[in-house]
Parts: sequence; C-alpha cells; structure tokens
Amino acid sequence: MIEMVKGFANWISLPYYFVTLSVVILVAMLVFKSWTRPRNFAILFSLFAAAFFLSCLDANFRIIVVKADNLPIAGMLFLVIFFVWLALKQAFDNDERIAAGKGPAEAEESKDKLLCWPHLVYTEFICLILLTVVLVLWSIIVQAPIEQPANLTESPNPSKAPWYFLGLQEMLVYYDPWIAGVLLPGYIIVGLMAIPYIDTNPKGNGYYTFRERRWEVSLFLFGFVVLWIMLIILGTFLRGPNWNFFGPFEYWDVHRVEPLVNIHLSDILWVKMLGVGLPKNMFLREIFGIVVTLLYLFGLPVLLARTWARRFYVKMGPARYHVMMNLFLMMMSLPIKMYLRWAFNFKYVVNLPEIFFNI
Amino acid sequence: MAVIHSDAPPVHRPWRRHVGFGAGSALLLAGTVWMIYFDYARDWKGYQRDFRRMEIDKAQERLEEVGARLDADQELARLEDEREQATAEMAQRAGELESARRALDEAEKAFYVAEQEWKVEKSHYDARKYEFEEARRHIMESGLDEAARDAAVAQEAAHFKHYEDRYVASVRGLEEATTARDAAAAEIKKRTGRQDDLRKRIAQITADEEALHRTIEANRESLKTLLLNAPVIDMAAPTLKIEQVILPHLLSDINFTRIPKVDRCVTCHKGIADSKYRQEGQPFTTHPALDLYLTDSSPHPYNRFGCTVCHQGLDRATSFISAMHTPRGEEQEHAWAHDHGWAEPHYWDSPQLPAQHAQAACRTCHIQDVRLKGADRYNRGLDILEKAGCYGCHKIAGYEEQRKAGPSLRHIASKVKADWAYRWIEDPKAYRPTTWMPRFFHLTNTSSPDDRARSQTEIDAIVAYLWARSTPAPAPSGRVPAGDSGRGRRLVSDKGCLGCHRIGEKPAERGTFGRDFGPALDRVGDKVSAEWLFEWVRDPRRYFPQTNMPDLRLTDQEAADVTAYLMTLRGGDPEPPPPASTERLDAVTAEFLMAKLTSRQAQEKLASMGTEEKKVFLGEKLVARYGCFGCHDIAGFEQALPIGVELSNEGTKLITRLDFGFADIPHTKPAWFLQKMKDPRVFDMGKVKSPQEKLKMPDFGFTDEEAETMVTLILSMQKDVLPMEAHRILDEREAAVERGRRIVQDRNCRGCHVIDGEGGAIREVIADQAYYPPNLIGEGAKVQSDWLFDFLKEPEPIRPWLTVTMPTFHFDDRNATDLVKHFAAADGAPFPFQSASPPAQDAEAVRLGKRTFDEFKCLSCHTVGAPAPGIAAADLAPDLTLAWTRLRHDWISKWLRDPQRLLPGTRMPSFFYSEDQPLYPDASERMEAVSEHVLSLGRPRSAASSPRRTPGQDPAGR
Repeated sequence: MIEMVKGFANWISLPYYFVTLSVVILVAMLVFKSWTRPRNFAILFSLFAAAFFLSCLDANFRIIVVKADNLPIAGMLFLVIFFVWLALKQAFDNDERIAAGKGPAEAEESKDKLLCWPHLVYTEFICLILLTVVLVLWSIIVQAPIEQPANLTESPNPSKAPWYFLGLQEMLVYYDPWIAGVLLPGYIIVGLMAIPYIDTNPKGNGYYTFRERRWEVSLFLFGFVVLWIMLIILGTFLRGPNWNFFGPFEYWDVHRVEPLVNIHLSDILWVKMLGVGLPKNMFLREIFGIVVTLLYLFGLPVLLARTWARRFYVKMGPARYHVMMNLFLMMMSLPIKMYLRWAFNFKYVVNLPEIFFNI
Repeated sequence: MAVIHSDAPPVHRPWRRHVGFGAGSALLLAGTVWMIYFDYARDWKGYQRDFRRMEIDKAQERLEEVGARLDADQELARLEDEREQATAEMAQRAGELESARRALDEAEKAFYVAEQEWKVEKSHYDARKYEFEEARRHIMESGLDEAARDAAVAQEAAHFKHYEDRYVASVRGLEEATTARDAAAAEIKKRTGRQDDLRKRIAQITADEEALHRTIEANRESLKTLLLNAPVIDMAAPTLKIEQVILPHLLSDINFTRIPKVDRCVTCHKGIADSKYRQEGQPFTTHPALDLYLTDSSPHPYNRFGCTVCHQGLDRATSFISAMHTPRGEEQEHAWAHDHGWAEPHYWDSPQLPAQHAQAACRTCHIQDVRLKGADRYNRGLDILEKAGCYGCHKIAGYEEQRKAGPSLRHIASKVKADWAYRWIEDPKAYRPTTWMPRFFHLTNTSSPDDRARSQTEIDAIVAYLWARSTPAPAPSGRVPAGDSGRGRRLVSDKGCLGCHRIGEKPAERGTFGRDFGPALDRVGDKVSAEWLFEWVRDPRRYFPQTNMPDLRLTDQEAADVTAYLMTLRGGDPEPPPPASTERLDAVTAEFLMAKLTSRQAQEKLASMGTEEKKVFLGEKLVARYGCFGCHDIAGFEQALPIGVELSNEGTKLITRLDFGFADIPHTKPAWFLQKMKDPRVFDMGKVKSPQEKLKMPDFGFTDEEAETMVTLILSMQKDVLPMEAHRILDEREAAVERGRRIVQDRNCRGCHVIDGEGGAIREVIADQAYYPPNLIGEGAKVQSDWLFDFLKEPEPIRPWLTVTMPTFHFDDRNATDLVKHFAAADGAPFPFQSASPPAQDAEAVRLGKRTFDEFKCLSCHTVGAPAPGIAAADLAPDLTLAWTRLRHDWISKWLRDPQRLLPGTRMPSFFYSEDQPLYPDASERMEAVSEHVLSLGRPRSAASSPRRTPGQDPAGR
C-alpha cells in the first residue's frame, strides 16, 4: 500500500506531470476560492505538512531533504505556500468587501494613525532578534555542508547551482546556455523593472485584490510560483546524478541510464514529414525554424492584437502592448519548449551548431 | 499586521510586544551562550585535560617510589644533618651576617647609580662620536686651506674629548662599583658558602623528586588555568592549546594547488613520541616504532616529517572525525561509531590509511629502494608483485625494465606436451599448487556450463596458437646419454638445486624467493620431455636466454643423471583435453571476426578457414585479450602493450573511479582492492555482458594474508605530490647498493647466501653447517673488487670441500660491476681500486710471521694449494694461496683480530685478542706479520706491489 503511494508520488513527480499539475493547481486556487478560509487552509496545510514529514520516514526522501544544502528549500516550500495563501486570502476577502461596497480592509485599518516609533520599529526589532536567534541556532545545529577541495578531474554529480539558481539551471535542460543563462535571466530582470511602466492599472494600490487585477496576479503567480519556485524545487529534490530525473522516493543511482535521443525541428519537417534528407545549406535546412521563431516573436503579437488580446492593445496602447507581449512570449517560450521536449523529444527549433546558434 | 483582526488594535496591547521582545532577547542570549560554548568545547581540550591528569597521576606514583628511595639514601641523610649543623652554626653569628648583608645592599645601590651614569654617558659619547666624525668629514670636504681645516678639526676634537673623558670616568666608576659589590657578595658567600654547597648537593640527589613536583605543579588545574583557558580570554596564553608542526617540504594536494602540511595530530596524541606511554590507551599511547619514527635519532624525526605524510588523512584537523581516521576493521569501525559517531567519510579524497596498511605510505618517498628495512609487509608485497608479474599487464613505475615474470614460450612445443599445456592453462594449481601462474578460466564470471564450454574452446585455441608459432629449440638434438637416477638424485641435493627448487615438500604456503624462487619440481616428469630437460640443465640459456636459472657447469654425464632422476618425478600423465566442439569454435571465431568485418563478410571468411586456421586465429586474439604476453615471451607479441590499467597511481585513484558493480562490500578503496585480489571478476556479478565485455583479470589464488598484503602494496602506489627535497634521493653509493639489490633479488642470491642478514634458504636442507654456502656479510670490505668481478663472471672453487657449487650466472659486465659495487658500497669499502701492501722488508718480521703461522697451526684447517691429507672435509678452511688476489689486504688483520665480529658463527678462532684484550704483548705486530705471511703464500715472486691482474698473466695460486 505504502509502496503504491510512493510509486504514485514518483510517477506524478515526473517533470511533465509535475509542471502541469502545478499549473492546474494554480488555476484551481484562483477559481475555487473557498480553500483560503483559515479552517480549510489549516487542514490543507496540515495535510501537506503531515505528508511531507511522513515522507521523511523514507530513507531516499530523507537523505535528500535533510541534506544541509537543501534545508532552505524545504523551508521555502512551507513559506511560499503560507504567503501565497496569506496574499490570496486577503485579496479574496477584499474582493468580497468591495463587491459589498465596503472598500478594502486596508482602507479601514489605515483610519487609525500609528506612530512609526515605537509601533513599527519595535515590532521590526523583535523580528530582527528572532531571526538572529534562528540563524544562530541553525548555524550551530546544522554544520556548513563543506565538501572536499574542488577537483578539476572530478566534478560532483549532480553538479548543482546554488539553490536560488536552480530554476535557471533547469532552463539549461531546454535551451542553450546563451539563452538560458544570459538572455532569459536578462529578460527576467529587465522585465521585472519594466512592470511599473507597463502595468498602469491603479487598482490594487495599497491593498490586496484579485478581481480587479485578474490577469496581472495570475500571470505573476504563473511566472513566480510555477516557473521559478517550482523549478527550484524540481531542481533540488527531483534532479539527481547526471541531471536525471528521480521521484521523491527513488534512490539516486549514479549508474541509471536514460534514453536520450533528441531531434530537431528540421529533422521532423525535412526527414519525417517531407521524406527528404537535410539540405546542405544550413540556413535552408533551418528555414522553417527561423520562420517559426520570427512569427512567434513578431507575428503573434500583431495577430493577437487584432483578435484575442484586442482589449489589452486598446487599453495599453501599441508601445506598452508590444513590450508586454514580448516579455510575455519570452516567458512562455520556456514552458512551450518544455512541453515540446517532453512530448516529442524535441531539441532545437533552430539548430545551427556551425555558428553556435541554437534556439 | 493587517490580518490581525482583534477588537483592540495593536497600539492598545503593548504588553504583547514586550513579551515578544523579552522572550526574543532571552532566546538570543541563550543562543549566543550556546554558540560560544559550542565553539569553545572541543574534543581535543578534553583529551589534553585527561593527559594532564594522567601526568599528575603518573608523577605521583613515581614520587612515591622516589620518596622511598630518598628516605633510604644514607648520603642524603648525612648531608641534611650537616646542613642543619651549618645552619645552627650560622645562627650563632647572625649579627655578622646581618651587617654583611647591609653592606651588600649599600654596594648594590652604589652599583645601580654607577651603572645608570655609565649608560647615560655612553649614549652621549656615542652620539658625540658620530657628530665629530661627520663634522670632520664636512671640514675636510669644505675647501678650506689646510691650516684652517686643522684648526677647525682641533676645535671639534676638543669638544668631543670632553665627552670622551666623561665617558671614561663613568666606566671607571662602574668598575669600582662592581668591585665593591663583588667584594660584599664574597663576604656573604664566605659565611654562607658551606650551606649553599650542601644545598646544591642535596638538590642534585633530590633532582628527580623536584622534577616530579614541577610536573605535578605544571599540570594541576587551578583558578589560574581556569581563567587562562576561559572562553575569549584563551586567546592570550592558554594552557590547553593546539600543537602543530609546519612542514614546508611536505605538501598536501588540494587539486588546484599544493600546500605545506601543518600536522596537528599531537594536539591529542600527546604521548606519541615518548616511550613512557607505551601502556596507555589511545590517544596517548606511544608510537610502536620509535626507532624509525618521531624521535630525533630516528631517520624520520617529527620536526621534519610530522605524521600525515605517512598516515595521510587531513593534517590540519583537530577532531576525531575531521582527522579522517580509518578503522582497521569492522570491529573497530563499530567501536568508533559508538564512541565517536564515526562514519565513512565522503568528503576527503585521501582518508588515513588503516593501521594495517600504514606501510603503504613508504613508497611516496622511497620509490627508488628495492626493498625497505622495517617495512616487511610492503617488502612482501613487492616480492609477490615480482613473482606474480603484476607489471606484465599493469604498467607500474619502477618496473618498466623488469624481465617478464614467466618463461619464454617461443619453443614451447619442444618442451612440453600439448595435453599438459591445455590442463595447465585450464587450472595451473592442479598441476602445481605453489605456482604463481594465475587461473584465467572457470572463474566467477565464466563458470556456467555454457561459459565452461566456451572456455574449453578458448584454451584449445590458445594451445593451438602457441604450438603453431613455436620454433624448435636452438639446441643440438643429440641423444640423451643414459643416466643414473640415484646419482642424479644426489647431484640435485648436493649441487645446490634446492636453493631455488623444492622437491617432494608440501609447503603450507606459497613462497616468493629463497627456495620458492624456481618451480617446485614434484611432477616435472609429467610435464617436460627428457630431451628438453637434458639440454636445459646443461645450459638453460640456450632455450631461454633471459632465464634466471644459472649454469651449474654440469658435465654431460651429470646432466644425464640429473635428467634421469627428475624424469622419475611423476604424478600421472595429463588427461587429454575434451573433444573440441566445431560449432562453438565457429561461433567464437565469428565473434572475433566481426570486430572488423560485417556479419556477412565474417561468415564468408569463416567458411574459407580450416579448423586449425580458425584455432590459430582465435588463439592469437585470445592471447591478446588475456594478455598472456605480459608474462611470457610469445612470438607475434613483441610490440604488444600491457593490457591492464596502469597502477602507478592506483592508490590515489578516486573511489568514484572504481566500479563496485553489485558486489556486496563496503564502499572503500581497501575493500575494493581486497575484493579484486580475492575474486577479481566478482564485479561482473549481476551484469549483462557479452563474453568479450567480461572482466578478464585472472585469479592468482591469493590467500587472505597475501591479498591483504597486496592491498597495502596497491595503496602504496600513489600520485607523486611531494617536491624533490621531500623524496629520499639516493646518492651514488646508495644507488649502487640498490642496483646490486635488484640483481640479488632477481637472481635469488639469497637462496644460498646470507646477504644483508637475510637469506641462506638452502641451509634448511643441509645437515652440517660446515657445508653451508658462505655468509656474505661484510663481503665488500673483505674481497678485492677485481677478484669479485672475475669470480662472478667465472666462479672458481674457494672452498673445495663444499658440494654446493656457485653456478655461472653469465652476468654481463654491467651487472657484474653493479654487484661488485653494491657489495663495496654496502660496506663503505673503496671501489674499484685498493692498494696492496708491499712485501715485508724486515727479515725479522718475515720470520715472526712464519713462526706464528706455524705455531698456531693454521694449516690444520687452511690449505695452501692442495688440502693436506687426513683432514675431514668438514674441517677445511679456504685455500690461503688465494688470499693475495682475493682478499683486501687491510681486511686480513681486522679478521685475525676478531673473526666473530666480522662473521658471526665462523669457526675461525681468535688467536690474538680475547674480548678486545691482547693475548700477547706484541699481538698487533704478530698479526701484521701473519697477514704478510699469508699474502706471501700466493704472491708471485716477481710481482709488483699491485695485485691487479693484467690480461694473459695469471698470478700464481689462481
């Protein structure tokens, strides 16, 4: 019985189910709001915690989770759940209040004026003390996970980035380093900085709300929780030796061999569909991929502006719309590529190893 | 804060924050205290406290002993009485002493004043001297005329003179004050002198007791030590502190760089270099080999070598775990897990060597030594390596030039029967249990019925290949003369064959050198043909030029006798091999053909081949696959490279590079190596492999002891990270010794001779010690280099009564020179030349020599030319006519003086000295005279003073 549950957990943790499930849960969280009621959430949270700690009875699970390097991620798992709940709960509450014509709770609270000292500074100071205590105790109880001197001829397996970069490292599975390591992270930073200039919706200033900012909140949660946090968790707990994927209850066997035959778009189109060999000219060979990429980045926004996203185009104006669409499409390029990989062993849309250019 | 929906807003509930603040602060304080304690409480401090307590206990025990001894000391009691008396006497004259003391006080005061004055004056004087010198230079360079310059200089000089006078006066004052003070002190000394003297003598007697008291005092815990060792304060002058030695020449490899070792082991192992602590447990116990390590008089003093260059582990560590201790076995592992929370370390590439493998570290510095004194296990590992021929398949630094371990197979068909060869390859130990030839077939990964059938095909093919490529032996194919096996048997036991071979013995374990050097001859008649054997014992080099078997210079008849005897040694003819399966031969051949051909081409090729052709083709592939040519000289494989992995750095190989497969053994390097020695193919267990992918290392049938020894040896082959100055670099003399040792080892000289205190294996089969081959102790100091060189190349009888013959090894000039040099260098004797003593000029001395020689009846044992009749062979001694060319002339008188010291156990009596006391007033003149007489026995009448032989001119007596 327990073995079956573990087997199911291992199966459901395969990356495609894992990411899909994350998206489904995220949507469900936004649609079915009753889970945010404190009692419901308390039950859900306790169930999750119980499942997590019971899982620690499994040696394979425990060995990964209690590794000193991974403790922050285990903590993050609980913190993220808690804070997502906290934010959404307040947002949903406010939505109800606003619908009832009462205005957000924050408006009411701020009728009372409080002095910064002592009320804020004092509280912050207590937080500071408590966090210092936590850090001191942590440093005593869990010793620094120092390993042997680095060795040119012997890299650790798996070789993992610091935990906060594991999402980026996961991207490396799907894109070349110059995209996954340079372009996309650059986009993330620039994109985050650009948000205030793109999102000019004044609703939600100073209070939590979902209904008034449906798209903004949903998109952010998708990008942050699924594409960042979940990928970190996947990279920490589910990626083992040789960057192979392991379920939470599986032993990290260095010797495990997985079939890895990936094909390019050009193979699919020229060889599989047209039944001819690859053209000699590399640009001719990759012409479909180049066209698809260009269409995706430059054709799609125009098309969308006329159809489904017309209301955004109208509301935001062309400049904001196109910047936003570009950022959005870049973000979506990751899950699109992930699903292509999982479904079709798809490697590159544009495959130009001759000039070190692959997309 | 927004979520706190309480009736009272936060501002009205200040106590909640106060509680939070209070509790938080208390927690922070507790956390900080814990942090300081955690940082402060280190295991090594506990060990140091224990050690100090132990020191006190030990000192107190000793104190009781010493106290008892002192109580019984008459001298001490007398001295103490005297002192009391002296004290009483002095008390009577207390007034005098008091006034003398007061005088001294005054003198001291005056001295202090004078000294201060002198210091001040001296500083002024030095400063003025500098000023004067500078001023004078300025004046000289100023361009004034001479008179003006002189005047100016005179003025400066007068100014300086003033200070000089004051300084001289202060020196006088100081001298006077010193004299006065010394006089006052002498005055007191005169009164208390006797008492002081007595005190000193008492102190001398009670010095032990005092030292013990000091030890106790130094190790006692007190408020002071408590304070000095308190957290934070302990940065100043703690009594518990980390003790370390910095070793600039011994480096640790941390992959990107190499850093000097800083060994901190003695922080806990405090008694390691002191033999006092032999009885104590860890960590205080004494090192078991202080004569070799740690002490200043040993070759490896602590200050130069530390600990971790040998023991390895993490040099800078100060805790049990981080020092990377490694248990010697499972039992210790459990004990450590219980006591120290020990677990297999994963994060240090070179944990400590387990105690039983400690000798593995010797090779890191001593790679040039052929064998190492004091490293028996390591030496035995090398013995096994050389006999088992590991270097045939595995490249090993230092063995690049070594001869292949097994015999040549170029003429195999003329030596043995094919049936025998088949059975031998299949299972060598079935024929000879003590063989070092390993077994390649029917092992862990090839023992299924299918595998066995395949193995039969393979062995058959290998034999076919060897026979196909075998050429007739380059020996005159004459008939073997009829031999007498009785005579042959006597020859074998008398000539010295048993120095390298055993016959009819069943040794409990397989040996390496000595009498196990050559194969046991128990069933040799089953193996070889009489024709071959006859030629072989006559001259082994004809069949196998590189053989280690020497030429015993047998006559044809003797050779025939020996052959006749050896051919009687039988145990049953080899069973003929099972009938070969043609299908399997085809299948295996096709498999090898397909390495280079497509399936269809392979089938076509196969169809075109005859059965014999297939076998030969397959045999060649299999010889290449199993690496038979690593140990045997096989035609067609002259250029082949070793098939195994290089072992030169195997000991430092990372554990991740070892494939443990599904073998159920601990994941440690020693465990893996041990498994590889015990059952090299077990790592294939549970794996899906085609026959050609399977592991192919053969099974040497090592015993547990041999396997463990080999693990030590493999661990000893480490990556070289030490700089040149850390290595033991051999000087010219040492290099000569090592080159000679190599030959002594390779030719098994120790089978007969005792060299460096080891060897003489043949003695166990010689009943009378008079017939032992000579002990070569001090050989270098004893014989002339020239003579030894000639003797090695062409031995001649020195001791005619010995039946064991020094065989002819056919050394080339180079090897013979190396051997001679080795003996000379080992004894520090000059090489290659030595002076000869001129003939005695003094007629009186000649007569004395002759007389003494006759008086002591030297000829009752020694001979001059032919032995005198009537002396039992066992009582004979060497022919003295050889002395002139054979012995170093200065050696003879040393020998006469004390034969037992030069050659323990010799039957030569000591005529001139007894226990270093001369027995005659003119003993040394007599010795000189006898030695001169002995030299004269062989000296050619017309010879010059040099005994060096010139070509074509054989000196008398040789």
